[in-house]
Amino acid sequence: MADAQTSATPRWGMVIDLDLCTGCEACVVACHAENNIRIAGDDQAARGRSVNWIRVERYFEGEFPDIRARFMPVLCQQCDEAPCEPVCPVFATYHSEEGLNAQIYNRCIGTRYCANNCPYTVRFFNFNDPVWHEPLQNAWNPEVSVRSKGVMEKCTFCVQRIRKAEMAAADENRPLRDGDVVPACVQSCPTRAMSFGDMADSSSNVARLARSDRATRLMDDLGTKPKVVYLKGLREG
Amino acid sequence: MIAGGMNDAASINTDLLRSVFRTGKWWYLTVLIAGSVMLAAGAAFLYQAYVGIAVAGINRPVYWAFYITNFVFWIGISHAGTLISAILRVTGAEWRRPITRCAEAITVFALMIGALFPIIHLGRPWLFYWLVPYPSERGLWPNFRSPLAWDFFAINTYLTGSIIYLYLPLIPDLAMLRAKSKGIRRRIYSLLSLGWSGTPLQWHRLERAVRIMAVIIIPVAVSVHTIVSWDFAMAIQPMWHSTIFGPYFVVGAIFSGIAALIVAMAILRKVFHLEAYLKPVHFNNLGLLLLTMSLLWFYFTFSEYLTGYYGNEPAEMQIFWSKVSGPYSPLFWAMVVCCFIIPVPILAFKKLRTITGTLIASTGIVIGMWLERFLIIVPTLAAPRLTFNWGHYRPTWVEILITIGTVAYFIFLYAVFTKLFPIVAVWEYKEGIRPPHTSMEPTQSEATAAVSAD
Amino acid sequence: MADETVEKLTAIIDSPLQAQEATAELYEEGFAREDITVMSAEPLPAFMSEFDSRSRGGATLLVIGGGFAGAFAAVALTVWTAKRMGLVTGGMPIVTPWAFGIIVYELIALGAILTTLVITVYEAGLLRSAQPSPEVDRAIADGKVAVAVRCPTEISRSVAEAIFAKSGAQVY
Repeated sequence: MADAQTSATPRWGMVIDLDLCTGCEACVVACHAENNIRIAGDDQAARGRSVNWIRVERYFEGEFPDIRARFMPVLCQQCDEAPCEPVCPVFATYHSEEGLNAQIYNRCIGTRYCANNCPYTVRFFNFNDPVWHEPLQNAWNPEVSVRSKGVMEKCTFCVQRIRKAEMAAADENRPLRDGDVVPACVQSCPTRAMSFGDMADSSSNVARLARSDRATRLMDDLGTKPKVVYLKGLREG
Repeated sequence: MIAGGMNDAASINTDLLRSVFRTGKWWYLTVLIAGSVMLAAGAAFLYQAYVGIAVAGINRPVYWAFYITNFVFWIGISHAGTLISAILRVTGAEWRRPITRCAEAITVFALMIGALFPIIHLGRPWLFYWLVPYPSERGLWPNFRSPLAWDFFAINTYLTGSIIYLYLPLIPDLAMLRAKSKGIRRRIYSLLSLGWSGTPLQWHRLERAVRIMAVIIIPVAVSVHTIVSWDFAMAIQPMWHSTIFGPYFVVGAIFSGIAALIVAMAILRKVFHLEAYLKPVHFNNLGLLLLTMSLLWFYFTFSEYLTGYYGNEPAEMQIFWSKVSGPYSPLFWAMVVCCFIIPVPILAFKKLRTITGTLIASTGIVIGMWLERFLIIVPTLAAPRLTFNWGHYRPTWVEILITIGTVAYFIFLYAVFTKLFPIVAVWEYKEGIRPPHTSMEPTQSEATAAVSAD
Repeated sequence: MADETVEKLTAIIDSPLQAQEATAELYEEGFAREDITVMSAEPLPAFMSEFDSRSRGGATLLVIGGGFAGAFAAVALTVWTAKRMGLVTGGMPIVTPWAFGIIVYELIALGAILTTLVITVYEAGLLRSAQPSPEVDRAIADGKVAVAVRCPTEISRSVAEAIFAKSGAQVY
């Protein structure tokens, strides 16, 4: 399926270099700002309802004084064989042609089956209507909707930026170039640990990195075919 | 009090129709209390629909908890009617006669309540009708791949079948009620009895219909709870993705169904003075069935946990230990005590298998089976594969009130049912006790050896 | 059912045995089977023997037919409609036989159930026939057997009355 040129139908993928990740969570903040993600507040967060489309998972290994902290940004893996898709009774989650696992808020009636079937726990539910205290609603991104209570949401690979780049390319009558689409998290990473692009274009950055011998995918033994590639090779010590 | 009039149709009528024609103050009190709790629960649901699921204890990652537990629980209870009415009819067990209607009523009401919960737990419950296949402006059809869509068809089929299965044998009793009532009640019963007069042709067609329905409803009931179990088994979560869930849930359903039936029978017997009709032998036989189901339930549970433990998969073992010795262990061991350790000795010894004994065992089983459903759902969801995301669950007053409210709703529906219809199928009971000298054929079993009029 | 009040004689008989004897005598006197209606509050095997061998097979076939209708409806509902509206399933096949098969199974059962209900109501003449009069109704409810005879002529009427008088029956 992968051609030498930029394919007519891109397959979006992401590469995250865990050896470069410092766990600073700039990606989390950028995602919040870009996608109008709600502020849960202390009380709701304590009850397990905070929303972070990308989160940095932190695991400690070893005993003092040989402790190591491992950071792993986890976001929706946009699985090709997504377990969340067959179980939604109203087709609110479905697979787009560009390989994205799309969440259609208007169709969602909130059965939450998709979230229960996601092995990566990347789906978030709107337990109530979000509240933005003055003047934070001025920071809304006009290109992204604000979700109301009762619907599921998750990382979309910044689909609004994908569409924007595609439309700009179409306006200028040129194909999409590698690096045209930059999701908010990729854009904000200070160590440039994250990359995004068209996996079907074998000359793209992500396709090249995905061929590295440090490349691995998260829980791909489950057969989900995730499209986020993690690079990990640094030895302990 | 009843003994002398056992074979007298008039006195049987008096006994069995007493609940319909005379209302004591306890009935009013029951309906009042149950109705109020029910309305309070309804208000709680509306509050939840208005504010959002945030008022419940549900969170990430435990996205399903009390409501789905209740859903599975009530659908399980609904298997009472099927076992008693259908299987015992098909096998020709005569002792089932006084308890068929009581069981069938449990089925219908439990299904109605169970079917409410998929609506109650939705994030946007006012859109529940999107599960119905109808031509819509959205250009969409339900996703038939989803176990929730299967639930829709299975539960509706079973509900329709159960209502018809309850209604058909009710028709002759409706005719009897029509004969004995006046005014507006008489008109309603006339309408409902469809002009039944009790000709031999009508009796034959009715009994044939009931026989056919009994055969159809059994595979439907098995499929319904299997499909409900597949809501979990089809997911890839550890300790959910198990092939045993289909049979496990069906066995659990029949188990909890019989227990609920025994509880209902014990209460009805006391409240409506049906001591001569719901006899110790009924509780004894149901108790034996309950014992069998308890042993079967234990077998399935043991198999499920032993294979998980032996396989030693890390994700599964986290959940296993959380149930056996971790945070959920009090509930887990309470479940084992309620479903197995207490009932089996009571039900195994004839001396203990009395009405009181079976009632104690059954109450424990109903509670234990609710716990079982909870323990299937919540521990798995609380311990996802990526351990950074582990959570916990605590119910809020909204969930507790709605749970209690549905129990109250069940009691309410049942109380209204006993006021409108006789809880023991009068004609079926009389058919079973007909003494030899009043008919040509001595017993029902020899009816097929026809003796035509000479 | 014309001129019911003139031509129809209903007797309330105390026991099924006496009712059996009375109907036997009525047949002997030449009354046709269709003119005699027995009504009771429980099934009386003696009167039902004639039905046992006949209609059984027909009903089962109809119910199976109903099941097929249900299967047909299920296929129409799931497969045809989904294909016709060009459902965008996002990569999943439009029709998944095993999943849709579950729905076919349920609707087969539903079809069979509804067919059973319909043929029972139809064949038993429910919704079409009138219920007994209140006095007769009450007597039946108390366990007596009612025998109704259609008497087109005065002679047949007196014959019937005589037969009923023998069993000490109340006649309306």
